[in-house]
Formats: sequence, C-alpha cells, structure tokens
Amino acid sequence: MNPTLPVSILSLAGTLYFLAFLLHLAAFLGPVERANRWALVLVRVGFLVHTFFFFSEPKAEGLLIPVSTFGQVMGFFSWALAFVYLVLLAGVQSESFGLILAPLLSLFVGVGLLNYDSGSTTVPNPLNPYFVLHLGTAFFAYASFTLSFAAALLYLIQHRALKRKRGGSFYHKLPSLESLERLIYSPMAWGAFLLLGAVGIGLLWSKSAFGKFWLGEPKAVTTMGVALFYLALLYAHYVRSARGKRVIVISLIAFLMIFVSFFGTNLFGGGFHRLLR
Amino acid sequence: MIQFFVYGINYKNCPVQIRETLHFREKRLPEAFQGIRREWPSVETLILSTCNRVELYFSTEETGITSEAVTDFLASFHGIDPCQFQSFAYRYEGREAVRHLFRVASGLDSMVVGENEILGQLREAFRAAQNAGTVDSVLYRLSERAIRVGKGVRTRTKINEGAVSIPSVAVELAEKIFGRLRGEKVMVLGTGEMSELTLQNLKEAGADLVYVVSRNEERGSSLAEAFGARWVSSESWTDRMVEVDILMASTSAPHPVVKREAVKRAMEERRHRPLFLIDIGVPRNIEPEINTLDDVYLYNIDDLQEVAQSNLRLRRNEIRQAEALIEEAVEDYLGWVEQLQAGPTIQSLQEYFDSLMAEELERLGPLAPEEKKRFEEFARRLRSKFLHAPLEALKESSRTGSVRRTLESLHTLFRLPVKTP
Repeated sequence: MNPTLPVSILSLAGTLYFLAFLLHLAAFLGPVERANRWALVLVRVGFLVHTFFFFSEPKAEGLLIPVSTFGQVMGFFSWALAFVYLVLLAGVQSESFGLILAPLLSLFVGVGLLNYDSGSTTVPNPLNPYFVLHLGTAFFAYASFTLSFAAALLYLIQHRALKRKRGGSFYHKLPSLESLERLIYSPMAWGAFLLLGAVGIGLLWSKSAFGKFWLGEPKAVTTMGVALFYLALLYAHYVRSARGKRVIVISLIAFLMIFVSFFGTNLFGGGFHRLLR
Repeated sequence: MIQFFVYGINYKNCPVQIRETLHFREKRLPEAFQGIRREWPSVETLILSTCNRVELYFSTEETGITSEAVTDFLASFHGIDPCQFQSFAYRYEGREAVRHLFRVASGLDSMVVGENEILGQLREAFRAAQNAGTVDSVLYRLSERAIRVGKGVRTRTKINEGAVSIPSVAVELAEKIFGRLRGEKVMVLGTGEMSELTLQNLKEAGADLVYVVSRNEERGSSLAEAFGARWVSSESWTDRMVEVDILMASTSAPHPVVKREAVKRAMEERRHRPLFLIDIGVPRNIEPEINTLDDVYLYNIDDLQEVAQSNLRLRRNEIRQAEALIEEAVEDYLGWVEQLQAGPTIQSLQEYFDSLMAEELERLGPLAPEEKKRFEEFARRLRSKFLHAPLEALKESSRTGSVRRTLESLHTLFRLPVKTP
C-alpha cells in the first residue's frame, strides 16, 4: 500500500466530520432541521472511514494501537470519541449534540494530521494483550468523559438561557435539560467503569512486563483518584438522586482533574508513562 | 379565459360577531355548495371558513360574477342583511387571489403569524369541496399547490418556530426543562381561567395534574375532578411541593403565596430535581427572588409574554423569505394556468392545419400507394415546421404572462373556433 494512502483516508474521515459540522451549523443557524439528520449520517460514514484507517495503517512500529506520536494520539482519541458516541451512547443521542461533537472530531483529526509521523515506542512488548487493553480502555474512558464534559457545558448554557428568560438560538436548538443530563451521566458511567478497568489492567500489565505492580506510579495514582471522584458523583446522582446544576459543575471540576492527571503527570510527575512519549 | 377570484372577510377588520354569523358550519357546507352550483352552474368553488376568516374561492370561465352577487348569496344563505358585512369584504382577482391563498396557507395572513392550524383547515376545506365535486382542474391544482406551499414555507423558514401564546409558551418551557412530558406532576394554586387553559395544554402535552389548591373547596374540587386530580386545602399544599415538577399559581391573593424559604426547603428535599414555577397571578403569587435558586425556573406572566413576543419577532423576521417562496410558487402556478389555457387553441390550430392538408391531398385525386405515402410524409413535415414557431411563441408568452394576447392573435389570424380547456 502507498504509505501516504492511510493519511489520505484519515483526511477523508476528518473532511466528513467537518462537513457534518457545517450541516449541524446550518441546522443551528437556519430552519433546516433535517440537516442534523444528514450530519449524523456523515459522522457515521466518517467513523467507518476512520475505523478503516486504523486497519489500513502500517503497524511497523509494533504498536497495535497507534499512540506513539501526538498526532497518532489525537487520531485515535477522536476515533474513540466517535465510537463512544455512536456505539456506547446510541440510546441517548441527541440530534443537536452533534454541533459540539462534529467540530471536536474534525479538530482532533486535523491536529492529528499535522503530526502523524509513524513513531517508535520504547515500551517492551507493545503487543502484549494487557497493554493493548489498557490503552484501549483508557482512551475510551477519556473519550467518554470528554462527551460528558461537552454535555455539561451545554446544560449550563441551556440552564442560563432558561434562567435569563429569553428565547434565542440556544434556547430553541439545544436539547432539553433532561436529555442533556442523560448525555452527562451515561458517558460518565461508562467512563468511570472503563477508567477503573484501565488502571486495573495497567497494573496487571506492569506485573507481566516488569515483574511488579506499579502501584505508586504518579499517573496510576492520580487516575485512580479521578475514577473514585467520578464514582462518588455517580453515586450521588444514581443512588442519592442528586441532580441539577451543582452536581454538573462538580463534574466539570472532575474533568479538569483528568487534565491534571493526563498531562500534569507526564510533564512533571515522571513515572513509567513517560516511556510512551 | 379562466378567471379566479376570492371574496371574503377576515379578522383584520371584521368584528367577531359578524364573522360568526357568516361562518359556514361543517353540516351546512354541502347545502352551501349546492346553492353556489344553482347560482353559477359552471364555476369551481372552495369555501374556507374558520373563526378568523370566511373566504369563497371561485374559478370560472364566465364573466360577471360580481361582488354584489356573492354578497347577496352570502346574505341569503346566512339570513343576514348585506349591509352588515359588505363594507368589510374584500375581493382579490387573478394573481392577487393566488398570492392571497398561498399567504393564507403559509400562515402569513393569520392573526398569529405562522400558526399551523390554518393549514389543517385549508385541507379540510379542500376535502369538503372535493366531496361536493366543486373543484375541478384549476381549483384542485390551486388548493393542492397552496397546501404544498404552506408546508414548504414552514419547513424552509422558521415561520412557525417557538410558541406564541401564554399556555403554549408554558408547555414549550416545560419541555425544555423536562424533555418530552411523560407524566410530570403538576400542582395548581387557584382556579383562574388562564390556569385552566394552561393546564389543558400541559395535560395534552403529557403532564399529569395531581393537586388543585384552592380556598374554595367546591371550585377546587370541580377543577380537580375535571383533570383527574385531588383537591388540597390552601393550608397544607407546601408539603406537596416536594412531589411535583411543575407548580402553577393563579390566585387572587394580594401578596405572594409561594415563598422563597419554602421553595428552598423543598429543593433540598427534592435533591435539586428541577422545578418549574409558572406565576400567572396578578399581582404576583410567587416571590420573584425564587428564580435565584439553582434548578428552579420561575416564569411570571410578563416573562411568558416576553418569550411569546420574542418568538413572534423571530417569526416576523422570516416573513420576507416566506414571501419570496410564495412569489415563486405564484409564478409557477400561473405559468401552469396559462399553459392550460393555451391547450384548446393549440388543438384548434393543429386541427385547422390537418383539415387544410386533408383538403389539398383530396384535390390531388387518387394516388398510387407509394405516392400517397410520400405526400403524407411531406404533409406531416410541413405541419410540424409550420406549428413550431406559434407553439414556441405560446410557451414563451405563458412564461411572461402574455398568453392571452398571443392566443387572441392566433384566433384572429387563423379564425380558430373557441374551445374551453
């Protein structure tokens, strides 16, 4: 296969996501509600093309999941985002939510394409099933939390529009608070479950690759903290029936903690996860 | 030539008492159509009669159906004096009449711009005329087209977006908070007329009225019974606030009866499940500071009116785009009518030429089969070349709206007989 072909396929996926964004924008600004439906079709086609890209990509560097460069991380993350929305959240999708999702997907793919060189990894035995599962679950978890975060922002915008008692585009076009709540908590539940899985599988992999559990590794510790924080939020919502703005604002704080856990530990914390850089 | 016109009265200048007397009830529509048939046997008719307008659409080959004649028909049918409504009546003809019907179908001529009800009423009027057999090619196509234009304008513009009446704004807001209403619990304080109307709308949308709070037990119980709810005395309602999702207040109390502290307490107990408060009492029944509480959405009558007005403004901004779509449809429809009018003349012209050819072939006397075939082929080619230019001229003039003059010229030049489409 021509080495530039996979990148062309990724560009095609990015273009489809971008076209979907334009259609969502048309539906948001104008009366063409049907554009939302076409946009969702484009996102689905884009996702299929994106999936095909991962199979067509050369795996010379030995990683089953391509995350050895920043571009690859972005490319895979956007695919995980689309997967979570289209597959895991199939029951709670909202047509107008695509207005947030589609630009995120095209942005991440676009950024990924800027720096999509095949890199190599210093990870020992990158094809180890524990390692592959660890990466997959972690990415899907982050994608789920990103969706939950986006829905939380939309909730606050709609909440504000309702409080200010004025009509306008947001008030009319955004989903109801009820559906946005579903879009916040469903991916949050998936995310917490997957993140816990990622930590657990990561520990198993450290044992199999290095002979000991990396219990004190900075990213593992902070990630565990984030997962527990999210679990507490989910407990408050599903068991204690806590609802409304306050819990949603706390979920935004939880998402900021992910940033600290993901980037902060890489930049300042050292630890094993630096091997992946 | 086909002529169409509309004669009617509407809410813009005609008082409701007169509109009521001129209204055609569904049961009497067949009788009305029969009356029109007796009066003008060869016309096509459509009667659009709603609470806001009574309009009679006519398409006819006849001339001289005057406004006075239609006025007399209406007056005798409804048994009223023509002087009572004559001055409010309007009449639009040809292009204006088509444009008017398309505007009516699109909701541009409605009291509430963009309202959807008129499209259903037009559909009903069309169905009634079809059943009575009073619509033929011209009005059939016109009515069908009007319904399509009405739908098209609503899907291609925002003319019907957003609720514009107080009860429907309340429902729209409830749906923005709770999503599609599926048994959300409603409690109402007071039994005013507006609250009943709003409750009706909420119920139709899927909410469930559970408590009616009223000092007057008899009135409260009667309203509660009508909606399958329970009456609660005005002393014990605050405890129920935890259970409900929508609370509407419409009492005649001179001071707020829903206090911030009570709602705050209820919200803690509800664990901040959203609460929608509708205050349609004057003076206000709910303390305005309540809106500062998280997850409580308080709308008083002014707020609801403001949302309705803002939605109406949004709709009005769409009028220009809607008018452009209507204008396009008017041109298209009139083009079709002109082509329809040209049909008999084209046929006459073809027949005229065929008869000339047949006459000339006859004069040649008996011909050998081979020769006859050649002459017939010659005649066919000549006919087609001869007719090409006038047919093209007709097509062009039907596009530019001058078909009538072209048809008259053809009739004069070739002394064609007059035929009807």
